[in-house]
Amino acid sequence: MTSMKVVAQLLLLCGVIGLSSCASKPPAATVSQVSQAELAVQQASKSKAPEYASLELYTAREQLAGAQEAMHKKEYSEARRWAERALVNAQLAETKAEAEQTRRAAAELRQSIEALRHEAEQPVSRSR
Amino acid sequence: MKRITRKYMLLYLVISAAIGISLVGCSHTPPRPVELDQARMAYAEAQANPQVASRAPVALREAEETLLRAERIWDKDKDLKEVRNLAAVARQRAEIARAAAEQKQAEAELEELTASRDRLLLDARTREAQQAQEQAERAQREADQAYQQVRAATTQSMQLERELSYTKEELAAKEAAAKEAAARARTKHRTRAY
Repeated sequence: MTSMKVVAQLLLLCGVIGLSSCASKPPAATVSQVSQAELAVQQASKSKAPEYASLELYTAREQLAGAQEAMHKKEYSEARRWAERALVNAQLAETKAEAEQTRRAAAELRQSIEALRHEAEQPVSRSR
Repeated sequence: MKRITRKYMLLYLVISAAIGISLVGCSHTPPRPVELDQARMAYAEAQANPQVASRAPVALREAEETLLRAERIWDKDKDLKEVRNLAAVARQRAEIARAAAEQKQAEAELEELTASRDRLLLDARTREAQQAQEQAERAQREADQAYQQVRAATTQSMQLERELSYTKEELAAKEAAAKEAAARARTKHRTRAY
């Protein structure tokens, strides 16, 4: 009688473990989406985004944190949505920062060209 | 008695209001989320920009695909959370397309500027080289002139020297002749005195 009880308990335990492992295993797609978002945020942080697109980068970081928290809470749909938004915001931050960097480089070059032109306009006074 | 009827009436009112609201909720589909329209507008704006269409076609298409997915899910499932999320993603993708187009445009400008700066530098160097050559030629001419002047002066001084020595010789000859004449005169005088 007691052995029967023990077996039943064991079976129950196995069932519970099996079920819980099933339920807690995050979908592979979500895991990859979260890690993609992590990568994008890291990449954006290494670019000029902290300087030129801080708002977008901040948003992306917050959303990534939301995704990670949702993963801990095993709310996988929620985690996927956060990760999707974090990814696009990180990409936006990086692209915006790149554009700004290029624009600044162009402005600097335009200034130095102006200086060169100015110099070229008065070569006589310079040679004397 | 009166109090009880009032209580029941209140309860009745509340219940009927709840039923009414739930009925309205049932008969009407949930309103189309604002995010979806915002995303559509952001996409339309990006698409209408010729710079975006030509310089960031891939990012623009990604924005369109996300938007279409959001619309599809809205039409089929009315899953508000999913639709709102996809709409937000689509909107950001439209922004990415615009930023990417701006980046490409700035890059093209930078390239153009680099070329014109190189041209300017080359021009300046050519001009400097020309100036240096002109200066060298001028210096050479001046040196030649100075040499000619020195030569002329030397010739002149040599001539003068020659003239001077000639005059000296003449002078010496004249002196000698005078001495001789004087000596002769003296001898004549002596012979006459004897």
